[in-house]
Amino acid sequence: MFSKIDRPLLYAVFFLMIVGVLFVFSASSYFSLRYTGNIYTYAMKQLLFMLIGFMGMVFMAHYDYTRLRFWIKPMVLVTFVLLLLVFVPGLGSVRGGARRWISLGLFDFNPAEFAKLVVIIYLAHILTKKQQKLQNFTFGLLPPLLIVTAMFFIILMQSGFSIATLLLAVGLIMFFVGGASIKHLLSVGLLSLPVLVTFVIQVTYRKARILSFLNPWDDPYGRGYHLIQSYRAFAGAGWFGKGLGNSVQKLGALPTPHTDFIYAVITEELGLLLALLLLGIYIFIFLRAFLIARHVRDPFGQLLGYGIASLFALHVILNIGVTTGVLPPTGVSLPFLSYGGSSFVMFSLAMGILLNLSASTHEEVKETWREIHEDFQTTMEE
Amino acid sequence: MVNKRATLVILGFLLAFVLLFYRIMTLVLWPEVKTSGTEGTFTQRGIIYDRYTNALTLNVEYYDFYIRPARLSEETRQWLITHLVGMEGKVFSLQDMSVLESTKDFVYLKRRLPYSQKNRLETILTNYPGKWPSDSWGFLKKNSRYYGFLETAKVVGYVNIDNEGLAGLEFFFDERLKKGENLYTTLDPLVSRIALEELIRGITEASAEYGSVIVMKISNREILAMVDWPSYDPNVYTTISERNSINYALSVAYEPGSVMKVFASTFALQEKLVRQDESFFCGGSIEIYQTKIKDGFAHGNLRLAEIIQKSCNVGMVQVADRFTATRWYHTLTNLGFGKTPAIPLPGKAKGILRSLSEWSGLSKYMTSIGQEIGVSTLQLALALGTLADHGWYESPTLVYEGKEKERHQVLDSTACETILHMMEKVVGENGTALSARIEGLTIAGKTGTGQIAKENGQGYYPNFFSALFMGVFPAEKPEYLMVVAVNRIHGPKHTGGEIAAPIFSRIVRRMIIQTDYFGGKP
Repeated sequence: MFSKIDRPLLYAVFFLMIVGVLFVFSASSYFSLRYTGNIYTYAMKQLLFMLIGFMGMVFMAHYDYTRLRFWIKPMVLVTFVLLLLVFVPGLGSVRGGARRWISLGLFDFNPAEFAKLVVIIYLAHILTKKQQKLQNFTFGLLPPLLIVTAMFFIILMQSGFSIATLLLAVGLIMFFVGGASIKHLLSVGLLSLPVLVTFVIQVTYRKARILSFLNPWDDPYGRGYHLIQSYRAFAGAGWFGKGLGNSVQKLGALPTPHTDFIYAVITEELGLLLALLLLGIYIFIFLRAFLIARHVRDPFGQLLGYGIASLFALHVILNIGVTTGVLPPTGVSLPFLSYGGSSFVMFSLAMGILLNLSASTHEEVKETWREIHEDFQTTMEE
Repeated sequence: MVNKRATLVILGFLLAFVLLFYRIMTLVLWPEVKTSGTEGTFTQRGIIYDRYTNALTLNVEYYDFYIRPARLSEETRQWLITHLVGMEGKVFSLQDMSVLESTKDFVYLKRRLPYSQKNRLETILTNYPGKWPSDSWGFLKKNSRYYGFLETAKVVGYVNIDNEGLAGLEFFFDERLKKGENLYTTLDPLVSRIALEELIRGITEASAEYGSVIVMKISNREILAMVDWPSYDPNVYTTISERNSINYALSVAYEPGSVMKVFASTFALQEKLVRQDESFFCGGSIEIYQTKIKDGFAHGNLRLAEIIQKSCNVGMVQVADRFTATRWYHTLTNLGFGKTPAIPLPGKAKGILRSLSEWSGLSKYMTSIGQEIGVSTLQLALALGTLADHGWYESPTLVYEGKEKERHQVLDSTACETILHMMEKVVGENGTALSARIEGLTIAGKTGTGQIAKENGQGYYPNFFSALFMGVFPAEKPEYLMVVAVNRIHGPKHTGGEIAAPIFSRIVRRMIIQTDYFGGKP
């Protein structure tokens, strides 16, 4: 099996995991000492997440992805149950004004992270199954759209605006790639827009947050504070950074140095060149995932691959976009680098699926290498 | 179809990645000016405390208002000019606005704006009807100092617009203060205030150019007050000039005149060159090496005590006649004359004491009556401290640092006590400084009237003097000493007894009434 999987992808992901643990340690040390009395608390947890995630990835790499289709109904059902469990008092835990975790004693588990992957698997399944009916709105597009919308609203109610939007975005990309009529998608989008906007505007804190990134200096000690501190980290980086462990902004200035703003800390410590190289590795993984998906002959696998690649890219773009102040502040993790178990494990599983996809294409690749190569070239030329 | 649509998606993502690349580069390589402000992670500058650990300096925040004229259109420029000049409180003048016409990328329109003014300015600018070009103006928060005590201004010093020490302790300890270290000084703001007020009054009455006062606790030589005039307000840069930024207590040397007689007399007693009952005749003048040394009038027969009491030059010169120049010279150096005092302040004067090889035959006479020698007020205070402390010289304390201090014996203990006793008579009937007398407190003092050498080296100004008074109190058990110097007096009254002694007594009197120094508290 190992001989067939896509090695560059595996190495790149493994590299990110290692860098992730290293930087969660560097970025969280001060924060960790302050809130837990021990500088290793977050780093050790992240190391544990990495082990769990790695095992999950290895498992999924060996698990025939086509069998995911048989589990799709229970998976969707369990996801709904878990998402609703968050609202049960005693089980759900509230952090930072958001109710999105299920308390598991040592860890809090965020079902919304997994919901994204489940939605991808589900949509890949349903869109390929109903490929012929897709042009029919009521029987083709509507049922999956309703399920995605239901999940979107549940997650939105948990104050997980960012994850909800992300889920919706991934969903839309998959509908688009999966062959849904653009006319239908546009009308659905236009119809839901007023609902979305009202929702955003009604909740005042979101309105303030969403606009604050446009000029953080309007409120440098309030809503603009995070972003200004992030800018400071970038401004202090230079070409070669301050050196590993030497970030100044992580020392109490950035409120969440090891989660949402870890990229700022990394840039401050490693400098512009290595920070851009790291972004390059993300782009590499994304492109690799896309190429794997393209090589898959099975439509389900192909759509699954595109979905995972899109989710991965969306996370990277949203996270770094927020850190650099081009997108409104939202709590989206940077895959494998941000501290957090749910996101880490979810992406590990997703990467495992990709690796399995790459293995399944291996023989075909060998056989039809020329053909696919030419196909790729013509597509790029187009 | 799937692959075609996927290609569109991939291109969309790649475009987003490229934009991120560009954005990250911009943030790192061309950050906005505002990001370099000092808020956030910043070590507060260390505080300078007085001897009761009350702060002499406060850390405060000011705002620098900047404009980037290159980004403004002609219209916005005109709007800015009318609205800023029209602002209440006359913060901006029309002249300030001329920089707006330039094509500079970045100018400070006003620095050191307090919070209230910054807010008012911000309100005006945000009410601009149009849309400002991005980052075309803004405020940079700057940390600075506020000094609550003008009387300690010279010693404490001040910082520049970048919060870096430029004078006094702020300058000397800049590195340590920047790291957040605090300084604990020996200064007493109340005594300093009293001293400065009385000094200013004295200088004004005498029509003098400058003056200084040092009040010192003899044990440990702790400086309670070191004030001088003219001075400045360290909070207002425009009040600081070349003339008033000199610390006249330690940076300027002048001829001390007769105050030197007490050191010469102690030396004479210690070397057993004179007996206390020996008398000298003063006929009003005496000639040595073709130089006539005069007194105001003929004192007749005088003993050493009366030479000091009446400050008789002719008598003193006869005593000095018996000095070995070498030993007298070394005593002067050991008393700290001609040497830089060990005090943690910039601009210490070494004073003027010609080296022994340059001494003429006249030198030992002249130095014993305080000519041919230049001293600073601080040097005089330290020499007087030696006399009051049984002949032990000790370097001054201004900042408590727990450092090893220089301390060595210069003069004989019995000789010092004898001379101090004689100095009590100066502040009495027939003494030169009756005006320094205070009921209920014995003072051992000495007046001095220094002549001022012409800048071209051609002798002395005939009508231009320095008046000095130095004293130790209480005389029977010396605890404090004070040196008052009023320099370059233009007025008709110019002697130490007429000008400096009254300042001295007024300060001591107010110390008794207004402070706890004589009520048992240290």
